[in-house]
Amino acid sequence: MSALSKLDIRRRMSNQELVVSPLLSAKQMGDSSVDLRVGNVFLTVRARGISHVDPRVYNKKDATDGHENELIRRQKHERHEIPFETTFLLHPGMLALVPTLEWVKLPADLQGVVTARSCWAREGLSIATATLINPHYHGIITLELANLGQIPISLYPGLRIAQIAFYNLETSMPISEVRLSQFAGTFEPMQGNIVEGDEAFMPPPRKPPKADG
Amino acid sequence: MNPKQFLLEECENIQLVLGEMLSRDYLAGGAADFHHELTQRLEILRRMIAPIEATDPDPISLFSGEVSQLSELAHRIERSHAGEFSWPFAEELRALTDPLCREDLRTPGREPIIRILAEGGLTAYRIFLENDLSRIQVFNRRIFTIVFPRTLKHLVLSHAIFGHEIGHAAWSIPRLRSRLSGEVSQPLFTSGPLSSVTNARAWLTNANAPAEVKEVIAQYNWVPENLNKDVLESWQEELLCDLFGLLTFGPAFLAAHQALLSTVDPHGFSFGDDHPPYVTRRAMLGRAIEYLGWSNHPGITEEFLRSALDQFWKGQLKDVRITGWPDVIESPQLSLAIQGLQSILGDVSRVLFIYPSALELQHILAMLEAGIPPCGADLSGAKEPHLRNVDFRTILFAGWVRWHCEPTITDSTVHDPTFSRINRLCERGMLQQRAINLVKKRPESGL
Repeated sequence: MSALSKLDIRRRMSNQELVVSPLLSAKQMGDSSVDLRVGNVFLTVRARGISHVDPRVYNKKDATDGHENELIRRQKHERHEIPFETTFLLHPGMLALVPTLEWVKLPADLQGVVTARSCWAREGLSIATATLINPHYHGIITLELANLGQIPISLYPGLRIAQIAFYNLETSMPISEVRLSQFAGTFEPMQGNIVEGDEAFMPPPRKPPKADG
Repeated sequence: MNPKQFLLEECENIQLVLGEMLSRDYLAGGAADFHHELTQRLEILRRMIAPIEATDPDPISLFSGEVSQLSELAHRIERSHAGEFSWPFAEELRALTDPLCREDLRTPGREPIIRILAEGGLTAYRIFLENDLSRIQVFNRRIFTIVFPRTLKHLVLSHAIFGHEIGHAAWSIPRLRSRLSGEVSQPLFTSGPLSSVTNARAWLTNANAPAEVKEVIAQYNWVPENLNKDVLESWQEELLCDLFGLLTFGPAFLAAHQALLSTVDPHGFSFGDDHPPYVTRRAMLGRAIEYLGWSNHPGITEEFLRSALDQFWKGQLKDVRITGWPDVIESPQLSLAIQGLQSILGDVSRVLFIYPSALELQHILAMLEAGIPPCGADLSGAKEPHLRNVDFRTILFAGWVRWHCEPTITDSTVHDPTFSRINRLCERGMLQQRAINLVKKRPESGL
């Protein structure tokens, strides 16, 4: 596995094997990465949404109360649409799911790794955890933003806060082998199914409530 | 409680709602102008209500109507949350409508306040106008309310139908109405079935009228007297606004018009006090396309693009009958009307649709084909990205073309181009184009 340099990235973009669109300035391209900008939707946890994250409500095989589970999942987040030139305040300790402005498309032999830009990291902004973008992915990239500092950070759509670096895979992934991410092709952040494929480790399904009488 | 007390109480309630409005999250730019105007109106009404007799029926009746109207305006803002409609599209619409609808009320050059909101229903598209100019002149600025169908939030391709609604807005502005009447309406209806009430009645009840029309007439016990001057004027306005939509939104308008109207009136022969039969509108638009020459693909030689456009126009024009009973406007009338409208729209920045260059259309279509949001981005990876202005109506046009044409690239990672997905890509492209425009406007920030 080797990282792509700026020259490699340009070459892969020139034949559109690799897409990061739109690139708004020369500054957006680093020596071995491409900067990513804040998009226009912020998903945050609702203050009065749910008491805790319970994988059980994602378990579709535990359909005791589909409506209740759906409600819990839907109530979890609050969605904010933030037009350009307006701001969103990320408070200390807060997590916000934010799309990149850019649409990213990866070929069969590249993997992307997303990290914070160092200048923003120094302000306490963390682009959390899920940083790997698989081959064949296309769509916006969801940034999991957290403010690890002591004071709020004001974010404006369009700011470059993250960066993506690209790595060659030793063997290309044929499309037949690819299990596209549940987030592929998405236009804005969404919560994932945290229990998909791991249902065996969940407690047995609850029994449906008995009907009255 | 007497009526006057109740009215003053309701003024207090509206004041409370206006206060609550400030705590909500509305579209970019906030609701400041709207809030200011409504607050001013409320104050004016309070001052006017204060001296009236507690139970004097005439002023009570007048002011109960005014207070009620203010209450409705305040309520509408509650449906104006940015998450309920496509704000990238709404911002484009606002940019288009604002210079067109700018008018002189009390203060010269005051622009109208444009509020955008969402409501239910497939045909919710409309613009609420404050039409009583004598009353509005007591206030300050005219309020235009643009309504999107809530459930069609992301269907930006269908939103091209707004061209028609902007036509209604323009028709309500005295300055524009006078020109539209003289330069468009007059030539359009100088002769033919819709030139007079007598001619229209004769046309509708003609023995050669299609059986479907006769069925509608029988079903609703329609009599020729139902078609009076007001009805005829409404029909004429509808046709004029269709032409307005075509010249402001281009081919995307035709496609949205067909998709929406053929859904609500599949036979195309229904008519009412407000609308003539749909087939007549389609016929006029079909004839207009012939005149404009768009379906001949002006300046386009690339085979891929010609083929895609062929499929689009074939789909759009297949049911248009530019002969016989539905054909109520002759070519010479229509060409004069189009020239008149082009002249009016050409006087206002950006309003007139300009047919895109072959290169631009090809670029946008290729992005859609590759499942990438279409915009003026440079995908080449060049050292200095070359950013272009792409008009949102070109994106809509390309979106409709993409919907009609067979894919030529098979990329299994790209989802099937469902109508919904094409819409989302176009909407995303419009959003990205806004970012491009911001950088182009202030290059020092991006370079």
